[in-house]
Amino acid sequence: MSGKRLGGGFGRLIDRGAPLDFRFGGTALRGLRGDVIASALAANGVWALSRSFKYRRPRGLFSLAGHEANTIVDIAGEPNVYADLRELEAGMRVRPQNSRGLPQRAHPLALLNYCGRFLPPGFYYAAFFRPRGAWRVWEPLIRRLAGLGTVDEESRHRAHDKVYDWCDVAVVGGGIAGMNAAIAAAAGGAETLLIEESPLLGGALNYARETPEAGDAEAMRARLKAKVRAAKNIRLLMPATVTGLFADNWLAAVAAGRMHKIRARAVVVASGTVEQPAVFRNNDLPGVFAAAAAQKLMRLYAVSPGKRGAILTANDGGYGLALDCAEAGVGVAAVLDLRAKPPPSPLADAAREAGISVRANCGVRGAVGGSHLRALRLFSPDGDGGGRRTLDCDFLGVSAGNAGNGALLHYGGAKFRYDEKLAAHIPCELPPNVYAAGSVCGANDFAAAAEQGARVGELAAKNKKQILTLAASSSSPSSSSVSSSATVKNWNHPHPVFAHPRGKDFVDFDEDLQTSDITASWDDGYRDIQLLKRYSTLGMGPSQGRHSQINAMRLLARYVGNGNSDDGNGSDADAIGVTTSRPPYRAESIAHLAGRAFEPEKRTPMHYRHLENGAEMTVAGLWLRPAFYGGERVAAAAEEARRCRSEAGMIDLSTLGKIEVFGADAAEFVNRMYTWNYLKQAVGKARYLLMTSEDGIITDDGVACRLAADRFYLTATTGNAEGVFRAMLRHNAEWGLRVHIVNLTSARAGVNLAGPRAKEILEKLCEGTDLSAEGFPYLAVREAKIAGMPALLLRVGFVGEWGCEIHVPASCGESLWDALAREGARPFGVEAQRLMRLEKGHIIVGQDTDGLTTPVEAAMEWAVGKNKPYFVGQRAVEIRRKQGAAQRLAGFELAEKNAPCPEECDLVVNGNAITGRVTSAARSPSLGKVVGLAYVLPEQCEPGTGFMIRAGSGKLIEAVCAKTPFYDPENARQK
Amino acid sequence: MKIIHTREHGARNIAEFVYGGVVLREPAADAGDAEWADYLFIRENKAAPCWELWLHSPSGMWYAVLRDAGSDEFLRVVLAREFFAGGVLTDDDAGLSSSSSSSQESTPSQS
Amino acid sequence: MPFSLLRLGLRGEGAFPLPPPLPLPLPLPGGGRKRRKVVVVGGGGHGLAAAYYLARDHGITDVAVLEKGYIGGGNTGRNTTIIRANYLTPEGVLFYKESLRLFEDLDRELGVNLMYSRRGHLTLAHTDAALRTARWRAGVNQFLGVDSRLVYPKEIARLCPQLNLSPGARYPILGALYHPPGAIARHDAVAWGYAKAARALGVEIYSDTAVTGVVVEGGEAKGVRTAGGVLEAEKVLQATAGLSSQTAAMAGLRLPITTVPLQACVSEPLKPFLDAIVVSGSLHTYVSQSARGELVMGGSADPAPLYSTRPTLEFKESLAANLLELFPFIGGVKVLRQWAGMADMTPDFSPVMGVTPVRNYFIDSGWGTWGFKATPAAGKYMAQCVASGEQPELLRPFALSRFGEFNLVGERGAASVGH
Repeated sequence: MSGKRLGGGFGRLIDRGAPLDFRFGGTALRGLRGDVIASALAANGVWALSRSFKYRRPRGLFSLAGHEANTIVDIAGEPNVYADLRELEAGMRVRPQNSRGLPQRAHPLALLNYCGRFLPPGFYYAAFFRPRGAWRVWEPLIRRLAGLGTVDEESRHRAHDKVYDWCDVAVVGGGIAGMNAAIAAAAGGAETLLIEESPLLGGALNYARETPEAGDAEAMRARLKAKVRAAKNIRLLMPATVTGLFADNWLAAVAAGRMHKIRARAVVVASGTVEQPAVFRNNDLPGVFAAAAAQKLMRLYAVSPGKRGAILTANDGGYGLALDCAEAGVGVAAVLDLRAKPPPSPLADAAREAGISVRANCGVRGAVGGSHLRALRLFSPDGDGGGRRTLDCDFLGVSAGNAGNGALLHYGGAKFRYDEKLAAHIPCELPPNVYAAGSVCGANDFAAAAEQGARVGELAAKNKKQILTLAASSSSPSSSSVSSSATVKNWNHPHPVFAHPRGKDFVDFDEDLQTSDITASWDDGYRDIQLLKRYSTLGMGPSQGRHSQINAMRLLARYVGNGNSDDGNGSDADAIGVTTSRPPYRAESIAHLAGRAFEPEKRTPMHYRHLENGAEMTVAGLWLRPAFYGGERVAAAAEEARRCRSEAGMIDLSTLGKIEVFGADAAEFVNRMYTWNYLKQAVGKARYLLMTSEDGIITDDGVACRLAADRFYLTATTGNAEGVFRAMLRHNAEWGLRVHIVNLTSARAGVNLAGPRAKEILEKLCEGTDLSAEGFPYLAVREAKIAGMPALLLRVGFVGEWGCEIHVPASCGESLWDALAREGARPFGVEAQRLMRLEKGHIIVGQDTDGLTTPVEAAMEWAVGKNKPYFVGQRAVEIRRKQGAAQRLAGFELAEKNAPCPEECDLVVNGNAITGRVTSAARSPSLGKVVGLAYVLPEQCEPGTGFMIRAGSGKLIEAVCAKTPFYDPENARQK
Repeated sequence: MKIIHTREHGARNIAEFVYGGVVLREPAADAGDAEWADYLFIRENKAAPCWELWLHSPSGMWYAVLRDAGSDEFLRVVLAREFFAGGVLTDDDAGLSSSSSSSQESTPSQS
Repeated sequence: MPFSLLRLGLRGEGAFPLPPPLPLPLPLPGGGRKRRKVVVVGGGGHGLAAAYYLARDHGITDVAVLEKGYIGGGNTGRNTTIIRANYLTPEGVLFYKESLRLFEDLDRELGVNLMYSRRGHLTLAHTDAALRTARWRAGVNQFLGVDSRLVYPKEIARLCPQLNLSPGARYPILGALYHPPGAIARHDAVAWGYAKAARALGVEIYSDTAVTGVVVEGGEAKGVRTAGGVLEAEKVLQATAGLSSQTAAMAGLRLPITTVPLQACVSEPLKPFLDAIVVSGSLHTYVSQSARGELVMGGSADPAPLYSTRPTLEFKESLAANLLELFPFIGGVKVLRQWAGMADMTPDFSPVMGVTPVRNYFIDSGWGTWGFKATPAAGKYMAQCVASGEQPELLRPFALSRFGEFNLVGERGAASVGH
């Protein structure tokens, strides 16, 4: 059974021929395709969807529009799903919140219901913290009670691609105002995107009526829909929820499992309203619905809201519902009109004609029922008459008023004011290129919404500013030609809050807040709505105050105004205000936000050769580099280094930054960017590069090759390449030197070939190039052909052997690698390189320096030009040199040969003081001892001076400063 | 997401740009240490229009941008090269701070 | 049910009632006293704490705290409430160690449950460089008596089994700095607790009272201007994180500060599944789960200066992608609310506290993204500084004068080592 449904004419969304089986709280049920979870449950007579946050009260749907946490359920793999928004799927396993089985059944913690007096707002601030450590005991318990959905730790992320879209005019909301706005905007020539959250265009026209004839709304809907469909330049995005409006009209919308990011020249917000609860005792009982929810149940899902209902109204809406019930054959016990003298209304007349009992000046003091509404206790809001009466009914439709659904306008920076007469928050100032139309502006009747929508759509298409001047029905409409305010009629009850001395009169369903919680918070001194929110948690639940803020504000305004508070000054609602509305409009899943979670990864041209050789890859910025080739890290690195030192090794340098600078001022430019002297650098020679920031901190190093008088080829470290390039462009924008700066990093591949056999290998591959000691000495640079490929050869010695960096076009990288491998060069990875450079005492920027290291501290003064007119950071380096360094980088060895090797970043200590740290340390296989670099006190940096290293274990290791290089101090091998 | 309009590239998302610090005049080479400290570390940091440098990353072009740090409005966007070469500043813009800047590209990642 | 709740119910008391607010505007010329011993500009956690300790530790109760909005409404109420002492520099570690010590007893001292929850704090290392920094921090922490240590995936799996420890991850977790005392707390309650305790000692707190100027004569602070007129003061303390430069400018001071937005967001409430506080520097992400069940999440500060708390979509997008890297099962969790605060960034990622070139004008600023965890220590030692007129030893490294002396704090080292 898919439950009892109403007959034909009802159930616009459901497919009666497509039953879907699902489970709720362990019970097998059946719904129909097109149902939302909540409507399918309602069709099965299941109205209680959850147990509440604090008191564990049974709760059901109210708005049928996802505006209260009552309807939040878990489905497999996804916590916190709104049962009144999520479409039912076959086989769904739905779990209610805070309830093991069906929430309508008795719940052990429902006892909390009777503890309200012991749980005033913020009760947890007063308890659970004495004696010391008490909170550690209580917290786990409270955490388990709090919270809603359960995260499924077995679920896995699926890619949710994002959609980028743009349009002239985006219209948010496909109701009367939105459709009219879209039609007008399109007619004005704008490419228009109409976005609607539900699966149906037409908004209220789908379920509400304004005239006794239900068909009138349907006819209007059909007309508008046809126009929208006919307009060539209207695109529809639905069902889609716009969750945010960000700077320069950047909209986020979620549709069909994807986030759409939409840039719109103009945005028309026609997002309608949120129907508001009336506050009375037990107003949270399942069976108490917003009138529109009851209408939607019938019209969209063919579900009867109950057998015999009552309707509480302050406007025509309640009478519309009464007529719908009559049409559907659902009993109506009475329409209770909160107004003392309801104005004349064709709908009310029609309801009376249909034999429905109407009681004016009648309100609800309280609802009666266990897990569902059974009866209402009535009273007369206007004083006398009525007495205490009880009305039996199994549902109540509430039409006490609504609140503009203006979240997007708030995000955009619109200003609102509370109009006491309309009892509504109305936008009064809009941000640039943002427009508002329809009931979000207070235009509650169809004609007004239509007219305003059309006018605003036209303005948006023409880029004309919308000026909002509110014109209530009693005042004269604005005459301004671009004004787009509607003539609106009173819809909202000014104060649908009927506090009950015994409480359980809920203002905020999400947070289980009763009227006394709000006023008590005020009395507790939290006399700013923002403070009150934080103390009471008003509006902090999943619905973010959409059903609670306005009533809380009204409640407080009257409470303070009546002198109940010792402020006694009185206050109007606008002075109380509401808290700031923050995105997203509806909670966005992390999967949708993340999208495909695209993380770019850069691979060198030799990447697959590394993998074939069993390399363990390591992350270096966006690049992947081989750390070592197979086996265990330390042993592998030692073996790779040994081969390099005894035969020939090669390492992939393609990730290094490679920047070419050319032009008449190239030398001057390089000389300003780096600390050393480059003006007189000979053509065909390489020179060390050291870069400092303006405040004198080492930021990078590399090698400068002078290829011609006006041409330099520079290298930068892997991680800093982009930053160095940007800094160069930036400085030259200011200097205006005649140079071009080209980033060749990804265009060039590089290999460092080093070792006793390196020269021999190179000679084989570079026929005709003079590689002799005289022809190609240390620090020489040559352009040559290697295995037929155009290459730049740099004679450098980072690892301390005869070595040559070979730079070739990226497309040749793999061939170069293969050619070298064929001649016997053995790959080594970053780990082996780190070891070998340490043996030579060379620093690695970022490892042996940190965010505050100056050339003085790094013992790099030798690389700072003495008589230069200028380089970036020069004055700061000078000032810091004058000050004297607090620490200095020094080579060290261990006093005891067999002491454990310190780890990088172990501290250097001196008694009770931290005086430095180890930056690099390794047991050198070639030297048979531990060598390292460390920051020590400047007075301790002379070779032979002892100092203490604190190992991770806390043990002290005695070290002795030593001269670098440790390996081949005469540099004989690299010459 | 904000849009930055440049003469060279038209309207582009701000995601294509990298902030590069406020524009400051470097002190003279013979300026005292205190003046250099001021240039390097002290910032006016007003909620008001201020000239800044922004890099359009895909094109490698640096822009001088007059932006209001109170409203986040981009009031003027010109090529940094032209800005520094002169002829871009109007009298109104002359209120450039005499103190200074380095880019603050790295920001801490945790609270 | 604890006895305290019984008492609430039986006596009908509020849980944590604040004293009634003081009448506005300030009783100034014409009515009331025109002069206070100390005026504190800014009624956030720091300003309120300083006022409290002035009264408690130094017997100075003639104090007025002036707050332009509501108490705790600035960064005190916008941060992600992480409390830790695992800094890199000895200066930083000693300061935050003291703050943590004060925090641990604060609930009983102030008589309010701050929901101070020791969760353990994991700073994940995805690169060798990050691992080295973690070792460095662990070393400094241990040497100074702060409980921190380097842990590797096997132990991380025990401390936070939800983390994706697969070596094949795009940013594999190689290790972490584990700081067992790392905690979270209810930020608002810290401000309210200090406010109430300060009031009880005689301190006045004025909300909705903006300071529009500082009276400085002959290089000495003499009072502040408000809409109600000048309030004279022997000493003035500014504690206006986010607006430090603007407040200081009123006293003629220029600061080494850039104000940038720092964003954060929370998820919908969830049943507890995450105990640890998890931070990933490489992924610019941090997350913890509050007592209410919300995941509290943050990332890096926005790069460009801005006096605005507007949130961006991009922040959430990158945060979400990073969270999925760490917790691959988290895709179905939903972000409920996002917001921003204004963070005062300094060049060395350390605060600026203490005396200033203006006599009797004191400053508590430069709190960047690390202000909340400093609340008790900043309050206590700024109070000492104001009372004595001298820079307390613990605050000496954080003096404003350090910039002129090129003597920066090395906290930036942690952020810049190894890219």
